[in-house]
Amino acid sequence: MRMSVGRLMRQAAGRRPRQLPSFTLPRAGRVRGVYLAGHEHERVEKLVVDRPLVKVLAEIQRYVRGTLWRWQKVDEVLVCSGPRIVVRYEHRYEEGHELEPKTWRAHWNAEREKERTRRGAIVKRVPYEVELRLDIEQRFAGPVLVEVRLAEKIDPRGHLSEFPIGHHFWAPSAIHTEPWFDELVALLRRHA
Amino acid sequence: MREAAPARGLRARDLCRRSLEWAIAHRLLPEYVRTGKYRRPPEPPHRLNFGKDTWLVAHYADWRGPLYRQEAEWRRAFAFVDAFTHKSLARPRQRGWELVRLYGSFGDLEPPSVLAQTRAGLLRQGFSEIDLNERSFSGMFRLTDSCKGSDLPEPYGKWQQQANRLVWDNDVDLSVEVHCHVHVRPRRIPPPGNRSYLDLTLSAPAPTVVTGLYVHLLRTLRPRSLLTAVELERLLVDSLRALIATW
Repeated sequence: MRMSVGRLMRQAAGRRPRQLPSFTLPRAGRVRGVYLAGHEHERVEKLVVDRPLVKVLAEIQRYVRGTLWRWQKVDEVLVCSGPRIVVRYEHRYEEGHELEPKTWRAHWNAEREKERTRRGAIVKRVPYEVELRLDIEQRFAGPVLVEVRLAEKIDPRGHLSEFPIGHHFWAPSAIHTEPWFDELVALLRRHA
Repeated sequence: MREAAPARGLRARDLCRRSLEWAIAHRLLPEYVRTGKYRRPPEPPHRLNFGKDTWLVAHYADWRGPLYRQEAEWRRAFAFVDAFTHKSLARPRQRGWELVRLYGSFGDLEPPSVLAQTRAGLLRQGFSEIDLNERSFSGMFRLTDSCKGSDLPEPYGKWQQQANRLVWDNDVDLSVEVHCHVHVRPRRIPPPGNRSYLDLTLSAPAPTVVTGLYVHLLRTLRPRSLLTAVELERLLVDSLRALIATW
């Protein structure tokens, strides 16, 4: 019996041709988010970190550089006595999300829009403005107090005027959907 | 008495550091734990990094040791170092460290000899001569230096940091002045004659200058009636304690 060289080699190797696993990544716009009333949201956590201030700053800087690399540092205020450091980072972006109609009028408008576009949902590019404010303070030889405040404004400039976010339509809250807040708090809480 | 190191070419910053160490070693001030100088981390610069001042402040936000636990003592340690700065020297009504008849009697040694050897002893320690009056047997000598705030003992910069002033990276001018005066007193007991004494006034509490000068005078003049090293040390400790208490 004649065998091809390729088959012979596969038999010698004792295995079948490798198959790569296949999976489908969900599109960002299709990820089910957390929908909250209003268009301004905030998450706040106060932590007491029992580590030297230098180590706390190094942890935060490493996290910001690694995870929030698309963000901008907009402000850094240093008060030597204390000392106290207040730093603000900002991130402005747009992302496609499904809007949820909430009022009777919004439902009516949504139905008209669905009919017009022949789609099952209203998906729009939603502008977000997210601000991370860190208030780091060490009171003379005591532990480091860190206040993490993550706030968002969804469509603050009213670009989606036909679909007003907040009352009639809700868009997913970035600060509850994205892991920014939880990761940072967990990182600091490891030493709390 | 033990001399810390060869005094030639001593910089004012080293003099300041050694003087504070001397005061702490003699229990005139409580101890503190050194944080060490700030070194820039090896990470490359990045727009999201904290600023350099933030890192400086965070680095020195370390208050270990009994000195920092007592605010009054910390303030005294600050004043101790501050006395070495040029700014402090220029301050009106700044009290110096007055040491009258410091080493005891030089016996029948002539004042010009004592003055000449005092001058030589101070020049040897790196001081420069500002004025020498051979009629009144007095002289003025100065040691100057300029360094970063981080080169000075840490209680100085940390006290400033607590007062919301950041001096670690700032230039600090240092200046120490020594005024010496040799005077003669008639002997009280026979045989009749005179005795020479040396008065010193230092603008900053620098006991190592005084002990260095003592070693020099002892070696060059060989007077018999000078104080012993132990007596001198006790005198310096008492005098410095009284000066520090006024701050």
